[in-house]
Amino acid sequence: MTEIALGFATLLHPTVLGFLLIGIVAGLIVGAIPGLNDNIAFAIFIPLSFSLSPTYAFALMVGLYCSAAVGGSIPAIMVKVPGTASAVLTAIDGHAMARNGFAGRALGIAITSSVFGGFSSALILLFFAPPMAAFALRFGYVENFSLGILGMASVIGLLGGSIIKGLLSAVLGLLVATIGFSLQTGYPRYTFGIDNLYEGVPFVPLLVGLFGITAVLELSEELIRDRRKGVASPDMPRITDSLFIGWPLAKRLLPTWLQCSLLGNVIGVIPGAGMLMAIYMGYERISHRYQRLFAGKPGEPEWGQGAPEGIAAPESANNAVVASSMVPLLSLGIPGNSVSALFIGAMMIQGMVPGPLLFIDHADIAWMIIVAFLVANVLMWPIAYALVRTISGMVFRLPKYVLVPTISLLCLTGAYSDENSVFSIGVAIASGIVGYATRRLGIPHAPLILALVLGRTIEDNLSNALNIGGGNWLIFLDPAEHPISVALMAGAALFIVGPLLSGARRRFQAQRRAAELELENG
Amino acid sequence: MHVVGIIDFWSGLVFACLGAAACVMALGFDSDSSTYPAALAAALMGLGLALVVKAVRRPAAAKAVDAEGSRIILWGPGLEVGVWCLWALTLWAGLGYIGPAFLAVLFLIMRHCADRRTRLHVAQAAGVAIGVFAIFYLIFQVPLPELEFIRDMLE
Amino acid sequence: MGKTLLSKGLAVAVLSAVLGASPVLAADYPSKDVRIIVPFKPGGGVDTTSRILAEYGNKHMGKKGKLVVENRAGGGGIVGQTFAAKAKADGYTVLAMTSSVVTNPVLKETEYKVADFRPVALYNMDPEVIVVGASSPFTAIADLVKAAKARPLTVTVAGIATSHHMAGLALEDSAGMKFTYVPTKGFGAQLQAVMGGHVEMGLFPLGEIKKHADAGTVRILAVATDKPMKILPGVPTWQDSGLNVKRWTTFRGWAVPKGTPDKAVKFLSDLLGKISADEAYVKQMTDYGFPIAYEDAKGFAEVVTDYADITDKVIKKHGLKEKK
Repeated sequence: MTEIALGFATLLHPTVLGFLLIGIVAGLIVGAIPGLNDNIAFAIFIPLSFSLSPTYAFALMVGLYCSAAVGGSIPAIMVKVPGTASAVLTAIDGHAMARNGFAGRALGIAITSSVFGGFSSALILLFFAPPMAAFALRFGYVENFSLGILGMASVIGLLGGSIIKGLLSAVLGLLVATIGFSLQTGYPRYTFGIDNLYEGVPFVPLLVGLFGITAVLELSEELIRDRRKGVASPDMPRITDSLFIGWPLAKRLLPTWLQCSLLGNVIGVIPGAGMLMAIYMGYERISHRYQRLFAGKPGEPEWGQGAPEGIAAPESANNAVVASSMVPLLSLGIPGNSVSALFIGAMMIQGMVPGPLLFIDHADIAWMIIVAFLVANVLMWPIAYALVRTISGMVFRLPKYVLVPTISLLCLTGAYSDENSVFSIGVAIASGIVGYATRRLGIPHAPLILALVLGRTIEDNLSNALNIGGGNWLIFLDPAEHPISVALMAGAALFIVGPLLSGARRRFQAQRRAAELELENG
Repeated sequence: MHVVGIIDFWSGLVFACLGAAACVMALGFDSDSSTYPAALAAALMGLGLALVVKAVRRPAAAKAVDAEGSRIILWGPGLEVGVWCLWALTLWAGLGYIGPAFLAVLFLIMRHCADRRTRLHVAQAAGVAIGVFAIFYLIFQVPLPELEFIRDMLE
Repeated sequence: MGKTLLSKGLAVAVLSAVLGASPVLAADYPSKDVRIIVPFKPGGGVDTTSRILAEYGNKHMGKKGKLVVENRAGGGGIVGQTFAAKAKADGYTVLAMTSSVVTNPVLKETEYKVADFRPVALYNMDPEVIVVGASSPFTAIADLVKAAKARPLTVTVAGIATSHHMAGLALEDSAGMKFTYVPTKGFGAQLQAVMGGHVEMGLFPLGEIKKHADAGTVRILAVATDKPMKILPGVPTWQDSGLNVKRWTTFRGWAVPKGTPDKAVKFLSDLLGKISADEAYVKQMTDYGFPIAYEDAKGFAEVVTDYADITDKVIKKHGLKEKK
């Protein structure tokens, strides 16, 4: 308890708190601008942090990290262009809800869900970091492979219409993920002699293209369609209703928040798993819940057409990854994702190193960082509520015909800034074309994206696990040596069998209803 | 309806060819790193063919190509992609950032907007180009190609 | 056309206001910013040390120009290294040169050769260390060597044909140890594998692991330097442990494109010398675990040749060159 008090004492200095506030506001703006994200912002901020005292620097970084994902949901809801990759699913139901005239409610759900998820992970970081870190450490090559399989299995429930197209999408993603040098031998696969492809297709431009450029191309299609029809293109939705979601809705969303926050926290502490996996898994789980409890009831839209759960699930899951991804970093010195890896750079510049020593050498700073996550989430709530109207008003009230090229330019410049190379712009454009074309062809995106994220994890960990295990494929199901792997594989099996069973059940019920109807009529 | 007019038929064919090409390439990799991509490529080919077969067997269930739709794709997203590809080329050629960005945005605005208000559009495009440049170059200090271009011009 | 000119004029106005750019004359070097090309993304060891250098170096740079770090990542460093090799040889582009500049052209098809660079100065030598997890049964290097002679040990390295993988191969050649290599991307993931006991040992550069050893989460069993290191009390060298590898160190330094004027090279080399004498700088680097080692242009060139010799042997013997 004294350590926590020490953290608060360090944080509650007015200037430190001021930097935390600046970070939160900056994160909202950076997240809201498509093409910019927390990764890019940190990379730029780190060199500037030399002249700052470490307390100021880390307060600012924590604030920015917490609020960037919230900022990303603003353009996702208002114009259906995710501001950050983590808002890609929010764009589906969020924008549909905004078009139905409830932009304010959609934003309110996004903010509240984010704060819930973020706060839960800050609590985990504060109170359960040591056991969670021990859990994270148990993830070796075997466990990571099984985790990848679990992630891919969660896609089955999101396939929807055509199974062939869903599998096609997943296979395409896995194949693209093999581009770059082979970890086992260093052989450059599918690189066509291009150095920029040696480490794989650059990931940030790939996501910017798949999410940002694809969305822009759809907007541009809409504009031209309206122009050719000779009708004025409808304006982007505005906030006309209240941002506050009210108690009944909050009560209804509570189970969603709890489930997705738990999922986000567990995935967050495992190094290398990441936000995208958390949002897709949460979204899949909650979609079944929605179908069971709400779909088809009066006043309830179809899933994907503005369901409140469709915003709450990804937004609480992505923010639950934020503070929990700091668990392995602070406790063990192992970065959980690309953003927390940048924290290492910032600490190094301040002459510190993350890990157990930080709590001995710089206890005040270590505990301040932890406490700052808690405070940032508390402060983020009112700040986001206060600023969301201004941000969405400022940028997204531009006429649509200006907005479309503006977002393109932002996204492509953001892609450039990842590796400072024109090649990245090409990657963003190409993946934008792929994203748009696959959508036109009715090929679902979820399997593609998860396969891109997990493809390398699956291949590399499989080969390493087999290498260590002497080629024995049964190690993944060995309950004595790898119980976590067995549990993950069982989870994957459930993900695959579950949707099949519920589909069979629906068909059975439909048949029975038809039979009953026949009896009544007969 | 004739098979040739069905989107799935063509997209299936494209995926099958892509898979076949990737498979052939993968067989040329060293043995330790070729099995996995080769298997994936073969799966892609198989799924592409399955799509083709499905389109041929049940042509009524699949979506068809329509002329108006293709025209919209060509003049909306198609043009957008074309303009930005050209822009990327000018960046690559070292012609600077702001100038080409301004022209690209201006062209797209004029293209998208029904009524012609040239002066307003020029102002909008200039605002966008300079605004985005300011965000990335001044605030985020990204070394945009502008720098070298200007340096070379001044020297 | 008028529009282009207008916008370009505007761009020039904006930029010259911001940069204070002025025509460059060779006589008064440095008369504008000197950019240090880091061929990796921000946040890693090379990036951070370069930024620390820039911070201390700017005290001595005068008013006309500063050291500016520019990241050109991609291709495992090759993209940025090629970029620097092709840059104008005017002394205003400096490459943060690492050992991979020596091995990349040998292993892969690159557009540059080592000879395209002119070494300026070296600021850090990072020796290879053998690391085990805190709960590992191996407490001394002798136990580990004995085990590795009996059966192959699993060892995590940062990637196939990296300097760390080659260090392992050199150990196999000269010490009779046997390894099963487990290539793992990134030092963080490697650390996870060692700490979690998913592999039996790891080969790391000292700078990446020193602080974790201090914290007691991993143990350093042996270090590949000529003499035992002061900052690693009780840790024997590879040579003293009977491994027959005299030294294995990666290096970090500055290099400029071939043809850069002597004046600029001398200025930069002296600048690194001044920085290396700065006590605050030395403390910050050694605190983190980066041993300071200053060598001027001549000394650095020798280090480069030395490294090329030891790696060449391993590359040839094990056929690491990329097959086309």
